[in-house]
Amino acid sequence: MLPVWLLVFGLGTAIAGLSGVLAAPTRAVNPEMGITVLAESFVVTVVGGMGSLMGAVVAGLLVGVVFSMTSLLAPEFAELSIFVLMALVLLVRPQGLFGKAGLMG
Amino acid sequence: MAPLLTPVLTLIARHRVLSVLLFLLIFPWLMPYEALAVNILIFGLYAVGFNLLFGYTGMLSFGHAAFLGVGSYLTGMSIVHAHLHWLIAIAIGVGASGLVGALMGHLAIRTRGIYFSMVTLALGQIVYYGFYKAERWTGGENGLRGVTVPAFEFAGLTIDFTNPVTKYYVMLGFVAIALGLVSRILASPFGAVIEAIRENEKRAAACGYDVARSKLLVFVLSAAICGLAGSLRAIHLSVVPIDSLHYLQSGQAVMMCLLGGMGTFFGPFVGAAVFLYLEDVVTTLTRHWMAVVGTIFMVFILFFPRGIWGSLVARWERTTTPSAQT
Repeated sequence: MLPVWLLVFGLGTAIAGLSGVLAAPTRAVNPEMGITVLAESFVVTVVGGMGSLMGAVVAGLLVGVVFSMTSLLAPEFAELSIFVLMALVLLVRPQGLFGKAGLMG
Repeated sequence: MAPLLTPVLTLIARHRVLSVLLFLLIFPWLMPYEALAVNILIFGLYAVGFNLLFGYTGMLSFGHAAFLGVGSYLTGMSIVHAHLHWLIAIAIGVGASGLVGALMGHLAIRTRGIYFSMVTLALGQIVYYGFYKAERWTGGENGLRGVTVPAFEFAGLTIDFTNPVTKYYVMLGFVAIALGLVSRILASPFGAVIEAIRENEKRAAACGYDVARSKLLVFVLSAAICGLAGSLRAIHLSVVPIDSLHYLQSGQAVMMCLLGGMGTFFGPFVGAAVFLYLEDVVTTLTRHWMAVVGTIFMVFILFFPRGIWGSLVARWERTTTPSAQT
């Protein structure tokens, strides 16, 4: 019996760890650095759609661009913009941009 | 269990609101100081509101800090900027929380499971940043200061909120109303419907119940109760910290509910009391209270998955045949 659950969880954690390794040189390393990323990655998953690799990549890029552009043009709305984007996606396409309908209800 | 105890417990189970209120009446004298009792009372109500959604309907929200915060801020802003009477300010706080709950619920109930948690978390963050940036009205990072209620006359008595015991009993009045309402909701057909949704949503829909409407309604009710807790907290602290909107605050509601026992009437109060009491005791011993409280929390989750009160109720139900919930 393969402990599938355990292996998948470990693999997911390892990939998240790799992103931490990549983030370390560009962002300040501190115990709270995960907190903002947590909310942002939730947004990316919702926008992209659950269970879609393509969705995660495209939504990651989209969320990043939206965040950077609002930081440039209207800095006081930067943090807000990605959540507004998520709300809009939920309203128009509840399963996310690339998600299959029915997966999330 | 002793045969003498069973009729007493049955009586408690039958009059759950009265039993809780009797306990809360003597509660301030069991605590090391009254401000802690007020805090536990407020967070107990917050956890009860959260439990209505999480324990009884099975929807795990990570955005309930938004309702606590909106209740706090709107009450605070009504008092500080508009100089309204504190009762009207509380009504505004509760109403605004219900409204925000309706907006958030409208979006969030389209999703289920972990998705629902994510969406409520993100929507809660919108509220957080909204209030954080509206510095002119909310004080931004410093929080809203100066939420004071002047002493007033009521039925020949002078009521002064600077006295913590007076404050506790006035707030207990509000908590009593909210608990009566929650108990009434749970005992009603609507209460049965939301529990049916928790057990099996598809079957509840097949039975002809409007699942989406019931979910939205219970979301709004839960938001309004958490808003009341927030309103009382603004008056209790006389400031509104921006932390009350932070999602760590939402996490606290989850922890309190799990610790006390989700889906039980008294469980959230037990959870809030244990959590805040532990926090209070451990912070005097070490700065790293989060590590200690977190470890204790995990031990409870591993060995008492039903929570403290939930385990007691389950144990009692095993020894007696008629099923009753306290």
